[in-house]
Amino acid sequence: MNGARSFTIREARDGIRSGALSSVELMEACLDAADRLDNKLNVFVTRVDREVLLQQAAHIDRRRKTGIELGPLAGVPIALKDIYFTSDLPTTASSKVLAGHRTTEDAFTVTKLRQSGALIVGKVQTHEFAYGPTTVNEFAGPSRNPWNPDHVPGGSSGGSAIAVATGMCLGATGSDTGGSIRHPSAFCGVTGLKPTYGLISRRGILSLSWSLDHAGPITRTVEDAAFMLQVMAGFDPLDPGSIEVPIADYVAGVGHAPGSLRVGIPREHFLDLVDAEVREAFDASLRILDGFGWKIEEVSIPNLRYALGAELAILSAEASSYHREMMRVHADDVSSDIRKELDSGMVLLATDYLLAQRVRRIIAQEFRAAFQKIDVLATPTIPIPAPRIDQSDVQIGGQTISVLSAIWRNTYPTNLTGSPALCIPCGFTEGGLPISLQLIGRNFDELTLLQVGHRFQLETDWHSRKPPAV
Amino acid sequence: MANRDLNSDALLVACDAVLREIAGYPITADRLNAALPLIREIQSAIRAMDEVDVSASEPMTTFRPVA
Repeated sequence: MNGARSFTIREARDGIRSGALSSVELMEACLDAADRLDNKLNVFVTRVDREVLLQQAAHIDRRRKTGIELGPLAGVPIALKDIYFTSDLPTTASSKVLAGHRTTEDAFTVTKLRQSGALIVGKVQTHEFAYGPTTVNEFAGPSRNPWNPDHVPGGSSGGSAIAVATGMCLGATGSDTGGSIRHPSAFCGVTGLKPTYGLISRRGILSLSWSLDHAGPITRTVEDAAFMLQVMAGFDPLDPGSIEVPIADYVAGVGHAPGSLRVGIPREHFLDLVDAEVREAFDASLRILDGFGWKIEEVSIPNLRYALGAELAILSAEASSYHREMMRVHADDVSSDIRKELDSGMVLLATDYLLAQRVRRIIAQEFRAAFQKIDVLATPTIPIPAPRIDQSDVQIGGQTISVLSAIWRNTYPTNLTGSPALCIPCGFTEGGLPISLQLIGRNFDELTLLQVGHRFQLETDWHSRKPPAV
Repeated sequence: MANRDLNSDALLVACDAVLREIAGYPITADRLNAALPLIREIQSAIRAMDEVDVSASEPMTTFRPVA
């Protein structure tokens, strides 16, 4: 076998079911990739023992041979962001405060993944407490971009995206409060899906900001995202944010691209500050979508300029509230960048938090109005390619802004609205760093997003390219 | 509209009073000084929302998207 990076979830699933591929072979390839690259890229917080995983894989192969029905992800190696609770592994959030911390139960989604036959290979690095877009940590050290280890992998689900990009697993879980699934997916050249708020349960996932937190998959392809979403989605009465809606058949439907489609290009905010190479790749992506016979048209969301204030007020207040008791006792063990964030949220006025929720509602209404005219909104996922680990500012169009501001500029608006957002590779810079296209959809219309993204990946090969280290 | 050009000394005094006297939140002067640039950035973005007419928008503390 030429490494697990050669297989998608679809191919591995089909191969294991037909007997053309053994689960043991696939697991060995993932373990070999992790052995080779984990130390260099700082991916895992905790790895499951090699022999345990090979026994689990052998069990899948025996079940197939004896004709026992296999689950939808049987034998597929999956990594978990280290904020997903696991009964058999520590959950640390890449923080000194939680070093060795154990929970008695699995997260709701981890239970569903295990029931599907997925094999959990370990827990991977996050920006500490999922509170940052780079996965450059004081305590756990910097995680590194597989396309160029001098650059950030993005965050906060950085370990998840690196593990998928390098074939240490075939899929991974992430969480997204301001873009934390999409940033690392974009910077590492893989596919990330932030589903609609409420579609996937967050029970058993460490919170950052409960009214903005979303759980979702990171995979190599859109089709693979459909496989993981199918398993992870579903109502959970014990997550107060979970919403009971019919779950579409994403796996069966992903291959049926719509004949006609209205693709919206935002007039405000998303294209105001974009690096030249990113803009070029975005425009080329639009030409591909146009080539499918889909209609491209401008759309307006006027109050987007207030989204930053709303996101910051809600995120800061909820995160500081959630971590308040921890900070009373363990503040000295929290990394300095996270400590600043959590201290800052303590001085917000309650009236400003409520102002933010009211502004949020206006922006969500404007999104709904826009989606009366369009089916999908297209934007660059991130306005810049992955910055260097030591880089603090970036120049875009003659303006200097902080890399942190640039990274999340195009992602946080949909955490406010709860809209589903899919990001897919759409090019590379001259320096060899990935560029990503973001597709935003109507609430609970993940299927259209997946169909559009899959159609794009049938036409392009950006998602098939391998990082130099692989 | 609120003043967006926040005075550092006044902000420091205000935050210190809120944290120690009102919130009962233990924080050293060093820590508060370290957080101050971020507090200023967040407050500035929040005050920009004062321009929005929210009179028709009910406060929403539990967020549930509509299909």
